[in-house]
Amino acid sequence: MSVGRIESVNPANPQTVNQPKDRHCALGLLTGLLIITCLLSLGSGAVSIEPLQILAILGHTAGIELPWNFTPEQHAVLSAIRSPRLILGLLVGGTLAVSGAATQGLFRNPLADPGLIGISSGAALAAVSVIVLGPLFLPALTGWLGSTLLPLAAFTGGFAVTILVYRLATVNGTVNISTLLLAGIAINALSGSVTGLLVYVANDEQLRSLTFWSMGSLGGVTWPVLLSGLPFFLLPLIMLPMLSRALNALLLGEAEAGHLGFPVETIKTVVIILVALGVGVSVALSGIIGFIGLVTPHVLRLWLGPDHRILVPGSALLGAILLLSADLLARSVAAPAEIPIGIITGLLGSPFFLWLLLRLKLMGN
Amino acid sequence: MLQANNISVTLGRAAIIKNISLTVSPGKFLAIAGPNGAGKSTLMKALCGDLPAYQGHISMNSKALPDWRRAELAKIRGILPQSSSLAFPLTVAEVVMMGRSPHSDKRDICRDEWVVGEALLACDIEALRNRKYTQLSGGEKQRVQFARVLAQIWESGSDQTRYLFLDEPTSALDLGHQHSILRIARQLAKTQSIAVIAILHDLNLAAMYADQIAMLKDGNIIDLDLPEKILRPSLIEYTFGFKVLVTRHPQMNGCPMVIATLH
Repeated sequence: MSVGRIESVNPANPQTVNQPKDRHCALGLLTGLLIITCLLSLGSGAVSIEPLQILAILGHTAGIELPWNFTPEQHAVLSAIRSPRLILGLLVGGTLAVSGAATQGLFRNPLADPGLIGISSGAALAAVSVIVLGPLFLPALTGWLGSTLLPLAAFTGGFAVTILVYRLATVNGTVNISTLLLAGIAINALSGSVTGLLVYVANDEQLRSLTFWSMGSLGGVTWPVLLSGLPFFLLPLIMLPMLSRALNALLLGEAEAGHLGFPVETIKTVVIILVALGVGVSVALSGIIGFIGLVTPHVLRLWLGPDHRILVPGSALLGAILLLSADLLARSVAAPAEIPIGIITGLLGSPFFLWLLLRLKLMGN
Repeated sequence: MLQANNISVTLGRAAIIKNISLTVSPGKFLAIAGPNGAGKSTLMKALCGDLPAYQGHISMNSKALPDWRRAELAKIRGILPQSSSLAFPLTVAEVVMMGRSPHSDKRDICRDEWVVGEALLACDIEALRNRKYTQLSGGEKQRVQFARVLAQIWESGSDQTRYLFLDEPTSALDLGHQHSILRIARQLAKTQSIAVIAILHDLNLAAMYADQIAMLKDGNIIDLDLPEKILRPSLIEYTFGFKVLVTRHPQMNGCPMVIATLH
């Protein structure tokens, strides 16, 4: 036994020392992919714009003239339609994926996803209620107040569901995953029924936005709406990566994380608030978009391992890539018509989830 | 020094442990033994401050347990759980490295890497360092968790007494590893004055490695003394309701050995 040989030399293990480098490579690769996806997303559509033209338009907006020509139409499409849509996609994709990674860490289970356990539909239910019932009770509620109330309501709905589900599924300090998923099923069903009920009292315009909410879309977003939601996106995107070490410790178990010196209760509360904020604002601005939060951290965990210090920032990048690609698909397969993006992520995500279940079964737990 | 005075824990109406007092000095190895349901784990949780409600007073290094900050406590105290719920494929080295996280305020990655290497070596899992935790056997997992706890209290950044709490550390281990883990714990006590508190079911292991044994039954300490004083046929029969013979270890002077009788 070699206990107590504290005076000997410090031979660093080369394998583990090299690890951070690989991880930085991975983050670099993801950033590169994201830039390509952004250029594709900005460039494709009814009015196509070449990557160099995109650069020229961006330069022109910033006051730098670059030697590539573009038409005024391209300029208008890029700045008023595609840019806000791109940024919304970046924020929603990143936030959903980061929230998924954090939820899976918090619940110590790779199947915990904000959509599956009902956070998204709780947020959507609150938002839909505000849309349909708001004018009945608060007729004056329009304009700026109305547009702020919506993300706020979505946040409250998401928050309430997160707390409820966590309380339901925690028995003696351990999270029971079957209770968690069953609670999610119940909340998703409740949300579906109440939304169905609201369809009867809704008028035509409200009906369109109900469809938007239940199937998701990045379309139609404007700069003012985007700016009002920005803080809600940035808080989880910036703060969840800062909680990576605590999330790592939580994987060991709540008592163990406490024994390693982490203030477990505070961290749990902060993570829940951040996830509810992020999912709430995502749902408020783009409706329910499923599976990004489940699939993204999974793919990354298979590639880079479960360490949250790489998983959380990596998820932000890959989540944005996946959502922008799904959006690209949603608006190009049936162009000029647009398929709701939630349908695309659902079509691709559900088989992935089934494969995941099968894989867990084969692994024997 | 760990001091507990008149500790009682009541869950619902049932008193789980009643008026327990004990002291563990630096460099001493205290084994807690007793039948199932005697309150061993509850006592250990109370001593670790993991129970929200208990009566009595516990102090570590002359400071009341509730006055300790978690982060400070984590630097001097390692706790090995009975089992761990880790279900994510972290590598063995990553799990053990988590033991270093309480010391991150003056972080020296090379030093941490070295401590992790030594802890892996001590627990005989050096060869597993890049394996996924989820793919290990129960005994291997237990050794990884032990290495993580060792890494946590490997060196003292201060002159504070360090503590090692072990809840059934040998339950999943084969014969050789049962002894090697307890040997490490005893060696840490003797060479670095770490105070060790371990729940042990195997009375012979307790006899070989502990300085003292606390015998628990129905939430009370029946007796707390040197192994040779505790391990008497009458006391064991009273505690466990099972007849035993006690002989001497052929190689260890005065160390008692408990043998089951035929009915």
